[in-house]
Amino acid sequence: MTNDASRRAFLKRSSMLAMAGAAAPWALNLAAMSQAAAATATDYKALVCVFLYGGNDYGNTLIPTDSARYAAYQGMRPTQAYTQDQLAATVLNPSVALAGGLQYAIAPELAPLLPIFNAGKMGVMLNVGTLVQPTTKAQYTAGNVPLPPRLFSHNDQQSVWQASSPEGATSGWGGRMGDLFESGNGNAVFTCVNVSGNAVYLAGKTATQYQVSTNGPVSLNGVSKPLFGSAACSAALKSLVTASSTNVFENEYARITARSLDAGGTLSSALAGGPTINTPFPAPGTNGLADQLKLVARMISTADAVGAKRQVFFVSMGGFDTHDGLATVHPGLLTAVA
Amino acid sequence: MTVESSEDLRPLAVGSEPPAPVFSVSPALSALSAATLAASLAACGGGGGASPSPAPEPPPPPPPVAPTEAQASRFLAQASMGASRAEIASVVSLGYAGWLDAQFSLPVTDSRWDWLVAQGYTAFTHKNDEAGFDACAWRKLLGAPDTLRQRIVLALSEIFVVAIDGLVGGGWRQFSAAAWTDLLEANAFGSHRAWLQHMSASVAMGNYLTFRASAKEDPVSGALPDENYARELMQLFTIGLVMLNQDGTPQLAGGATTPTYQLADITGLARVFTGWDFDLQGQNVGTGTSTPDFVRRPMIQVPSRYETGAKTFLGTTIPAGTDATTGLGLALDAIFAHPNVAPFFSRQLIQRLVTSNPSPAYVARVAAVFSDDGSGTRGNLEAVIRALLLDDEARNPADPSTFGKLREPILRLTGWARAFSVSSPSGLWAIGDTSDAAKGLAQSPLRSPSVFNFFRPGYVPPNTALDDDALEAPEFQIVNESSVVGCVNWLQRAVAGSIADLTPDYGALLPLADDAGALLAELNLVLAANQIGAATLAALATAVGSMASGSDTARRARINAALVLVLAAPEYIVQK
Repeated sequence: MTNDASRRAFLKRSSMLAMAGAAAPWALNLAAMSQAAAATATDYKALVCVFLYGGNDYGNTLIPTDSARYAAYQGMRPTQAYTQDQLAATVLNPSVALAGGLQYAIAPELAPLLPIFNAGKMGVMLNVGTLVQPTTKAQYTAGNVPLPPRLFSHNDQQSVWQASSPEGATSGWGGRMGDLFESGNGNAVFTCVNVSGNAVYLAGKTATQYQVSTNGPVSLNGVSKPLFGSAACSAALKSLVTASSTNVFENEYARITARSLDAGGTLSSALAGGPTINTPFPAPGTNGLADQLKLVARMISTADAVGAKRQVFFVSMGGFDTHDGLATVHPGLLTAVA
Repeated sequence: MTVESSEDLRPLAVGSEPPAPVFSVSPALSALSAATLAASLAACGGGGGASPSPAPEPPPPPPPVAPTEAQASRFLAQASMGASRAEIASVVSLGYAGWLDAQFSLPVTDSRWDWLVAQGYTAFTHKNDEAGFDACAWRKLLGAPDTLRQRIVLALSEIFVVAIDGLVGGGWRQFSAAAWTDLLEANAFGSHRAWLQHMSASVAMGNYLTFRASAKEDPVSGALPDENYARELMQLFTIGLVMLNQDGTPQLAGGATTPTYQLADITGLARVFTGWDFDLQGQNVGTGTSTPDFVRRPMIQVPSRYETGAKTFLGTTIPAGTDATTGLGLALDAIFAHPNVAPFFSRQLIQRLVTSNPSPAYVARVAAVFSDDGSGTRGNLEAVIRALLLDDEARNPADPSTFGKLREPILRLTGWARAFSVSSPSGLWAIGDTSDAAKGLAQSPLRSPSVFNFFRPGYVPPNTALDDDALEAPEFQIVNESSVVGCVNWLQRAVAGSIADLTPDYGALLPLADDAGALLAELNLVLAANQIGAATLAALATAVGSMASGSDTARRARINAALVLVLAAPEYIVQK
């Protein structure tokens, strides 16, 4: 794909998006974003997906504060609602005020994000979700509009968020984005990087997610140092764990190990030569999400060294399926995020 | 029945505080499926139970051919926490079915709970921590002589998932997790229906899936009963999302699947799980939770919070006014009777023990035993386990290129530990939490990140040949660039005796170690059921053979190196 072609494709998608407005299916929005990130640029861009497993409660994250809608919010969750007083310090004042006097605050626990918003470096996306089309409660009750597959099944809805289809999906939109631009990266293996576990979000048709720990790549001790004193055994170990096989399970296992050993060395060298990260992070081990994001920052800072121009990162945090614990558990989770 | 050394395990505790109730299955219930098990009948009867007056005696079947050592080791990879020379000899001597009989008759050893008590974890300072649980879990997985039961407990803990970090209500997470695992252990060979009852009354599940203290609908606030357990009880634990054929394949109508339930079924069932709460024996919360005892008492009813109205789900209606205990029983009866339960459970248990992609016919044979163990009993887990492990597909797989499963990291650890009678001389088993992918095993007992287990039964690794062939490989969900390396690094430390005070007994290997070929052949048999091919083994023998020899220090280095190589070999990691 030429630069012009990709730009045209992006513009075309963008204009479709503009016409469709807020009613555009979310998948189309995401496809448009992937075009925006396309392949042949010489600059660097990264997308970092922060996935909140269990599903963050939107209602106590972004809270309407104009009086009519605050009253509705408070009425729907009387025992779980923030008070207007609690929200006063985190009211959002966008550069262009919302029509009709609509106003929102972010949860007080998210106060550290407020300066970022005020600096114009943070946006709030409204009406984003997995619905197939805008749906009213009446339509939902009547069952006369298509609904997301396996609605309310947690694992399936996570998969729909990540891949647009329920569990069993084998590619996600981060990975499909990676498909578009992995050829533009000097080392394709660092296109889709997961600092959490495995996630279908980062699986493409050709792009494969590369998993890295918060401390960077893990080296195989028996290979990096003689195995119980034996260089011959180290060599045998390296050959053993990366050998192809006619058994598909063995072969896939060895393929992942080979990728780990090959990419790990490259990335370790790059990270070792990277700049000091001056952003203050919480002490290691005290906030798992922060540890993941710090590694992402280190990888971004050394992207040049591995020839990466476009990267998609995935980090995550769990525990958001709070059920009865919303009022007690959710604020702490938001504090960790902020 | 003689068992392997049990010096590290205390004798079965017989104190004033009895262990969790043991559900025992009469040997008479474990009648075999004649079609699948004909060859093994001669070995039956070792359970020692008297059958009710038998029908006319069938002609005696031909005596079974004794398994070879390699066959025995392969069987143990499916049916135990790991083979050892002693267990291999036992399988060769008793035959597959005879070995199963012997295992089914082994008593449950002293509980995780009692170990925690003995170690002093009842001290109030532990009310809000998890200290002790990992140790009491590992101790059993690595050392308890009822190795089949331990394997089933591990498997069941990955189907009926509870994780210790979610056992927060009331504190004492280590005791709650221990009580849950002890409960799984007590029911591992029992009745599926009885298990559903125990699970639904357990404090661990009540806390984990948040229905403990769930209350009836509040007309003022609009709050509804908590739906968490009602949903996962159906989706994950019993019937799944879509209607199944008895062979585990989805029923298709015009190419589309049929959902097993709708949201209304969950809302209806959630009303059953209201009013349940801790049994504090009349004490206030502070006093009642000051010791851990309440976490292993079945939950009791708080009538003021119970939804007394009618409850409709899955085509069943529990009439208004039915008392809570009766209502729970009726609800579980209805779920247990659902035709999906047999194939849904059977297929997952096959995946945990034998192969990731069982044929539909194999699933159907096991599901049939679940539905009727031969004596009219449904959900007899002992019969299901027996049928599953003795099935011809388990013993004689048709396609070795796709048969089998990845050994999960816990089983790679226990495989080594069981083979070499690993002990913890201090008795503390301080292996700890091994969840970290980079520094641990990417897996640790009862530490799944969510109710969806470490891995999903239907997981297909994206963008792989497995994906191309639509092959499921659940354990691959925790395989990635960090964990493949982290696991080998951890095992290297274990092999060398650098994990806590874990102490392997390599006495039987030392005489072989000067002969690298003999050493690797022994490891291949015991650990890998001879599934590491000759070419690989020769390459490893050449490398190990280049090491120094002739002293015990040199021999120990050879043993350590050979063990790491075998434990890291893909031909070992994939259990075929």
